[in-house]
Amino acid sequence: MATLAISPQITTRLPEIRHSSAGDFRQMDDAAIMLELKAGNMAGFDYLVEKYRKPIIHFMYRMVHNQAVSEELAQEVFLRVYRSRETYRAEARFSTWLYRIATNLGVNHARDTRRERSASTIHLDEVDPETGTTPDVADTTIGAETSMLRDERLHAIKQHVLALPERQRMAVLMHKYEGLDYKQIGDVLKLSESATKSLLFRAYQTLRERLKEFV
Amino acid sequence: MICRDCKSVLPDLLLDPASPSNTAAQAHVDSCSECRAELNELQATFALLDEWTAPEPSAYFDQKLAVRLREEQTASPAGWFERLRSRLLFNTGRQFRPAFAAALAVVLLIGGGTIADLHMHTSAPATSAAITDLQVFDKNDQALQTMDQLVQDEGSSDDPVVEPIS
Repeated sequence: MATLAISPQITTRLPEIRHSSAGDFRQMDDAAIMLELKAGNMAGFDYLVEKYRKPIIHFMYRMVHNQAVSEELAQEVFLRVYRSRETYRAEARFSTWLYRIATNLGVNHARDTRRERSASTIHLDEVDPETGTTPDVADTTIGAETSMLRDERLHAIKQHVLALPERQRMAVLMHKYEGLDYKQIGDVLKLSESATKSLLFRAYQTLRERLKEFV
Repeated sequence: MICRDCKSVLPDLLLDPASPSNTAAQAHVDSCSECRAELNELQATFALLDEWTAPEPSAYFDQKLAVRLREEQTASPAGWFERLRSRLLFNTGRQFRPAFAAALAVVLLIGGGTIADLHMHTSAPATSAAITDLQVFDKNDQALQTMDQLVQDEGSSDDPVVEPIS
């Protein structure tokens, strides 16, 4: 039986193909991880999904008010990141680019389904796709009353945030719930930093007025 | 600091009250009850918005994404039109800025040149005040001559007919 022996010198002469591991990615900038993905390292993509999955799903959820749809749209966001790996340019922060994709998808979805949402009907015997619960009906217990008040407040918050003009709504969602700074929000919405500040100020003033009774 | 200036920085104060840039605003709020009330209301509204929580991602998110990713990897690559559309829709637009600036410069040059050219052709030649005065005098003179002519014509028709002396 023949045996194959590999000279140790051959292995040292092999070109070094090294892919970063998840541990390395923590030390790296997101843009650099995208370059790893461009080079074919799918572990970079997994890391970015892991890092941004929750914030993007939450952002989408607050835009579309439906968990299943928000997850589908979030998947679409990550698929677009994957598709754009070849053409990606590190000209802006990765998170800014990601939220820009998410914002566009969310706005398009909201426009496409505007008619459906306006004609929605509540069925008391059906589970709400948004919350996974059946609608509350009148109950005599104190707990139920508190719960209804809380639901009413939550409904008002959603309704008034949703009723804000499109850009103000996006700015509030990114600022309040995703913790993006003025510059990042400005980059996503293509606005200057001062214009973003003013946009947010108007939005919060509007919400202050409309939610006065719940404060 | 006046109330109007303070109101414009209230969101900053709301989010980062300890920031050195907000010292003046904070001092104003401490001394102005109206601005303090507004800041308190904004803080309460901001806290109220926290009640809107989003559900945790479902356990199947990663699996579904993996399936869609595999489909994506096996599918034929997107056409140039789709790629261009995606780039236009989802990028920040920064790479187009030099081209946009150049296009704007060209438009300004062409537009400015056209307007200047039109202006040169359409504007009436400027006349000085002296020429205007002379034109007025000339018109007055003509009017006086016309009036003299009329007076003379009238005078000649009113003259009594002189009988020839026999």
